[in-house]
Amino acid sequence: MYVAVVFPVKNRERFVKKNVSIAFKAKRVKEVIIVDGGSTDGTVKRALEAGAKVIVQSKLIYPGKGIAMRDGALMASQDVVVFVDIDIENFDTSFIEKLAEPIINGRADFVKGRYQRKAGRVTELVAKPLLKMFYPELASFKQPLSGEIAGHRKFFYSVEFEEGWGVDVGLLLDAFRMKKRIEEVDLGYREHEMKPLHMLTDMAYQVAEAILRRAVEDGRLNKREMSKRLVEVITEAEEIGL
Amino acid sequence: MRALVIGGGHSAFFVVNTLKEIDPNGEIVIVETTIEKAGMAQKQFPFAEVLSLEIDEILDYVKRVKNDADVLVVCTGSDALNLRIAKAAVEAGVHRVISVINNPLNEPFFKKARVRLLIDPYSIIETKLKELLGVGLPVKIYEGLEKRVALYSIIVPRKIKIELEREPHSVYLLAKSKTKITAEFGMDLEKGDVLYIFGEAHEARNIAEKLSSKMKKGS
Repeated sequence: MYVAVVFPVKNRERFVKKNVSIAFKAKRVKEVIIVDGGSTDGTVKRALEAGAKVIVQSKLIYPGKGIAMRDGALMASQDVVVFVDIDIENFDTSFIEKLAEPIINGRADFVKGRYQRKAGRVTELVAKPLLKMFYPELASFKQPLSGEIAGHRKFFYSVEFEEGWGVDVGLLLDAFRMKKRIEEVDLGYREHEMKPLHMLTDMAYQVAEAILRRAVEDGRLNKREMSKRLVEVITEAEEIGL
Repeated sequence: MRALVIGGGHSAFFVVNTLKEIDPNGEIVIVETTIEKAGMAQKQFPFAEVLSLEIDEILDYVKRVKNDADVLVVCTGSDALNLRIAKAAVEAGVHRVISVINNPLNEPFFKKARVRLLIDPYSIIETKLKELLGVGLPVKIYEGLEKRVALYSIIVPRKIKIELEREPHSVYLLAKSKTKITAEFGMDLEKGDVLYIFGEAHEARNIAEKLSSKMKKGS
């Protein structure tokens, strides 16, 4: 069983060459794919130099992380696909190996990474409360929005990727709804840049929408209540100063 | 003609209808990965055979029917998937492989994979904007898919006399002003006239670039 690593990127020239080279050194990795979001720096050039397969995401919308991830999954030809953010300062092969291991050894179908640090503001104030309300089975996940994910390639063919920031939690929920075996693995400490506050509003809405839409589809919430709950969550987040 | 169309969404609608127009008696097989979309495609195109296959099955299917298809058109909503399937088809030796690209920035990656027949629906944006606003720029209005012929236009930025050093082998020049149309290899042009260059693609592009450069120099 071999692994394809997918990095969704945009203007990350500084990280690309180093982290693609590291990814190739991880056990069982046969394919590294860069899905570019329309970079204007040398990201694509560096990726090609490092030997990665490169594709530009099919739709250049912002945020389009889900589109990039979908393209990455469709480009991959190995059995296991691992998605990792590229802007990890202390990136090493263990990030990939820890994510792929439960799948290679047959313990899980879908794996989420978590870090030894406090989860972000959107995770604590939006994702976790909503999961607790509508999907209490997933409330134990420490970082449901983590972008470090692994799964069987064919699993990713069977889900509909959210286009924006809701993609990570959407995949977790879909794996749960499809009764896949899910594992959360500790990836250790991660150094990365914090998102500025203004970006978190959009992120909060999209994460909430991804959870609530599925809750409605699964009959865990009716449509009238959905708008009410969404307003409550956003208001609470604003009051706290999110 | 037997055509294989991979994808059953927005682009496929135009692809399938055009294939039907080109050859009303031809055979069209549509392959779609989603069962729901395959069902929709069957209702929309009752004259076509519609198959619902998984992605890996599509790759196998393309290899299996490589000698039966006169043309394969890949037109899913994902360039990653289009590239993967088109590349596999080219490598398998399918007679003609055409891919629609959703993002023009992906053109070099398709060409690198020897997928050369590309349809880029977004190229019209650049063409139309330059045609309307790009004074003095050579605008590629049309280029054949196999790049044998091309048509360029240039909005003349100033009064100028153009004369080619030698008569081109396979290119024609035509100037349109408010009052007349002139077709010569040397002509007097006024500001605002439109010069059209049509013919063999390579030579037409060279002449368009040379004339554009000459027009810009004096402006």
